[in-house]
Order: sequence, then C-alpha cells, then structure tokens
Amino acid sequence: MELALETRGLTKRFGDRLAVDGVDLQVPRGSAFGYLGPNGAGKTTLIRMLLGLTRATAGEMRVLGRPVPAERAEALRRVGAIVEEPRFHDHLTGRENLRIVAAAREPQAHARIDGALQRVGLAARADERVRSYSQGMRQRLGVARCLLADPELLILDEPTNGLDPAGIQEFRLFVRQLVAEGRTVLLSSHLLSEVERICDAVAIVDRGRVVAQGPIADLSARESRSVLVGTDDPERARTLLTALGEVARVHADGDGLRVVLGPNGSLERAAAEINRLLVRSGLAVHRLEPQRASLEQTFLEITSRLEDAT
Amino acid sequence: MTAAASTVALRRSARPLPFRLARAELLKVRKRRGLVATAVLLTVAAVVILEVAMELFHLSNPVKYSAAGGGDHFRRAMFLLSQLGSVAAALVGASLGADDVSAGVFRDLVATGRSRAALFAARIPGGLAMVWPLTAAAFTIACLFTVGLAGGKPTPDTTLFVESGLWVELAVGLAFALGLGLGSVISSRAQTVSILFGWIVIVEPLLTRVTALAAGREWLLSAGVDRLAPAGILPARDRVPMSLGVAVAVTVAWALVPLAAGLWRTRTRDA
Repeated sequence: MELALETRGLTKRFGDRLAVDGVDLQVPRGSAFGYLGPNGAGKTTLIRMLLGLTRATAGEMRVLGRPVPAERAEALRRVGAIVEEPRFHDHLTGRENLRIVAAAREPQAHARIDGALQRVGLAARADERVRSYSQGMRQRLGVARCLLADPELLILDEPTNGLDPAGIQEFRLFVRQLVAEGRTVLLSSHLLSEVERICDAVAIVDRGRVVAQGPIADLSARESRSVLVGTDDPERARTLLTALGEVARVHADGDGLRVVLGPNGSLERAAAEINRLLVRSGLAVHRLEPQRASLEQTFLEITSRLEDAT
Repeated sequence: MTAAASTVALRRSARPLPFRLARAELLKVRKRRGLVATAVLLTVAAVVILEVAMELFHLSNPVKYSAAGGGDHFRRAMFLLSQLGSVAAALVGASLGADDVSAGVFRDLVATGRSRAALFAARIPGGLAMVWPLTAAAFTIACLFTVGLAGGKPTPDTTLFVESGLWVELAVGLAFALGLGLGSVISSRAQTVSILFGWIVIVEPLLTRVTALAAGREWLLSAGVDRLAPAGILPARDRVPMSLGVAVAVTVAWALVPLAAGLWRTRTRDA
C-alpha cells in the first residue's frame, strides 16, 4: 500500500504535558482519511508538526514519501493545508491573498489562481476585500489557497467549522471529488458523523494517542457489533451471557443489557444463540435487538473505555 | 481566464522567486490605505507643506522671511525629511514585520515549504520598494523648490544634492530595518510603532544632547547617521563628535542587529 503520510512514534511535549504521544499513522494515497478525536486530543498539534509549523519532540514523519523536516520543502510542494480556521490579510482581496501565497509556491501557482477561485465558487467575489467575506466564503478561500499547490495531499483541520448545513453538504461533495481525482485528504475533526460520511479510513485519537486505526467499515464492525437484550432477570442473564463464546463483554444499558460481540461471526447468528441460551435457561426474553454501531458509538465506546481504565 | 489575464499570470510565473516574494510583500503594504496615506503625509506632503508655507510667509512679508528656496531652506527640508521619513519607514517596517503573524497568515506561508529565511528576507526589498521611492519623490520636490524658489539666494551644488539624497535614503533605510526587525520580534504593529516612535522622536534626540554620556552617545543611531550627513547639511558643531569609521560601524550595527533578531525570531517561532 502506497502511503501519502506516515508517522512513527511521533511525539510532542509541551513542558510536562504530552500533546502527541508516540503516534503511528498510516494514510493511504488516494483516500479520504479521518483523524478523529475530541477537542484537546492533539489533532492540530500533529498537523502542525507535519507542516513544519512546530518541531516534534521525537519520532519520524514522511509526507508524500519524503522525510520531514529533512526534505520539508520538497515534501510540502504538493501539499495544501488549512490549519484551524483559515486566516487572511483582511485588507486585501481574495485574489490578492492568493497571490501572496502563490508567490511562495512554485512559479506555476500564479496561473492556478483563477481556476482555484472558479472551483470554489468565489470567482465573482474574488476582487472584494476579505474583510467583507462570510465565514463560509473564508473557508472556501482557504480551500482555494490549498489548490494553488495542485495538491497530492490536502490536510484540512476541522474544515466544516462555521459552515451552515448547505455548506457542509457542499464541502463533503468537494472532498469526495478531490479523492476521485486521485488526491489524498487528511481531515481532522471532532465531528464523528462528519468523518463517517466523508472518509474511507480513520484513526481515532484520544489524549495524544491513536487508539484505533483502519477502514471505517472494519472499525465499526470490529468494535461495535452488539445485541440489546431485555429479560425478566438481568443479573442472571448477565452471568449466562458473559460465558458465551462470541461475547466480548456485557454491560447494563437502560433497563436491559448490551451484549458486545467479539470480532468474528455473524451478528444475526449471535442474536439467535443468545435467545436460545436465555430461553433454555428459563428466562423470559422481551427484547432482542442486533445493532451495528455508528462510528460515533465506537468512538465513544473506545474513549470511555480508556477513561475507565485510567 | 481572459487572454490578457493569462498573459499576466504567465509573466508572473516567469519571475524568479526572490522577486515574486518581494512583490508580494510590497502588495501587502501598498494596499494598506492608512499606512500609505501616513507615509505620503510624512514624506511628500510634509515637504510640500513646509516649502509652500515658507513661500507664503515670504510672499506675505519678504523683509522678514526669505524665499522658500536656496541652501538654508534645503538644509531644513533635508532635516525634516530624514526625521519624518524615518518615522514613515519605521511604520512600514513594523507593518511588514508583524502583519503576517498577527493576521495568522504566517503559518500558511510556512506550510508552503518555503524557508522562513526566504520569507523574512523578502520583506526587505518589498518594504524598501515603497519607502525609498516615496522618499525620493519628497527629495525631488525639495530640490525643485530649492532651485525654483531660490529668489537669488545661493543654491547647493550638484554634489551636495546627490550626497543629501543618498544620506536621506540611508536614514530612512535604517529606520525601516529597525522597524522590520523589531516588528518581526514583537509581532505587534501597534507595540512596535509605539516603541520606535518613542525612541526615534523622543529618546534618541534627548540622549544625543546629554553630553555627560560622552563616548556612549556614539552608539546612538542618530549620532552615526548624523556623522554621515554631508557637511553642507549638518555642520560638525551639530553632531556628536566621532570618527567616520565608528560612524559606519554604528550605522551598520543598527541595521544588522535588528534584522538578525527578526530573522532569528522568524526562524524559531511556532507558526
């Protein structure tokens, strides 16, 4: 698998606080990859290290196959990035702001300005001062700025912040278009449903550590297949089900029990097996509900489990 | 894209990197209307106002006030231009030094992969491309008034004109370097301008007059710059006594130290 981005043991320490803790990340080329975690999990810090905005305390990074920071200039030549909210010189127009960044890029970047403005739908207002732009327009201008690099890799940090629902919908389509063109998109977000809708693969980060990583379908299936069970004797049912082979764990969920399954086997077959066991043991089953969790449930499950362990 | 726009884009593409970066820096400052207006006011407008006022005084009372032109008024104009031009240059330098960071754009420039040293270095020609032509325009106006309104008074010779022009450009160039360096270190235009204004307009002129400082005064920027002024503009009695070598060393130090500090901060700061 060819990687657009790879980190090994990447660490950033601010005094006593570990912001990024030995992150191993592998982002396949040509995919939309979500970097998912709650606020303060170290997502932006990781992006800032990848772009050379701050130094790593330890670890290795490769961007588009080149080591960073050793070959940073060459590595970032085909990388476009929005870090946190896109910022501009407010006294300049949208087009002039792009000219400023184009000057720092390769010579051909100037010729891409009009195309980039056209693509993000800002051509008509490109000659207005950025001061008059809405949040959504600034976000679009930020994307146009990324496109000046003709990027193989786009790094977008919380890109849908401040967008209205229509803008978010448009942004999703835009990212998928970019991926369809063979570009790679690394999208950092705390909005789980957002990542689930846009991305092909995801790394879940918590307190600076990557706690799960892989294709979204695999991650959801692996972590969050469960059966909600309602019986007349939850305590006894819990004891019985914990001993069942396919069951990873059982915990209370409202009035019933949530039976979380292991990684293998069919969810429907496991539900039937649970029902059979409980009925044979003389328990009355009034609820049996197989569930495939969304990534959001998986995410909450992983992070809450970590919290329990600490 | 129209054919004309396409041609412009291609022409820009063909320019070498330092030129493109410097042009981008010039764009940032020349589009700041308030800054440009202030710089014009402190250079071109200031000289015009001085000369016109002098001529009006002369016309209203020729016995009491001499004509606006001639050598004596030229000296006055050069002194004014070196002082106010330095303030304008410091403002432009402070703006270029601080604006990228305070606007939050610095990180986007760094994220292009371009070296921070190149980004910093581009600010020097970019800012001077605004400061020097403005000063040159003001100087030219002063020269025209000097000759045109001399009214029979002696006018400076060509050598003095040329030396004075170079000296004024040196003075504003140094103030620009000071503003740029300090602005890059502090990253706040307002704070940089306050500090520099206080230093250039209040502290340095006062310290220059404190004879108790003795040789310590040689290390003041204005002492070095004044020593390099043409004798026809600033007589020896009005300067801090110092050798030419020390004056050159002090002047170079006042240019290089702030720039080196600005470069260091630009290279080491978290973007």
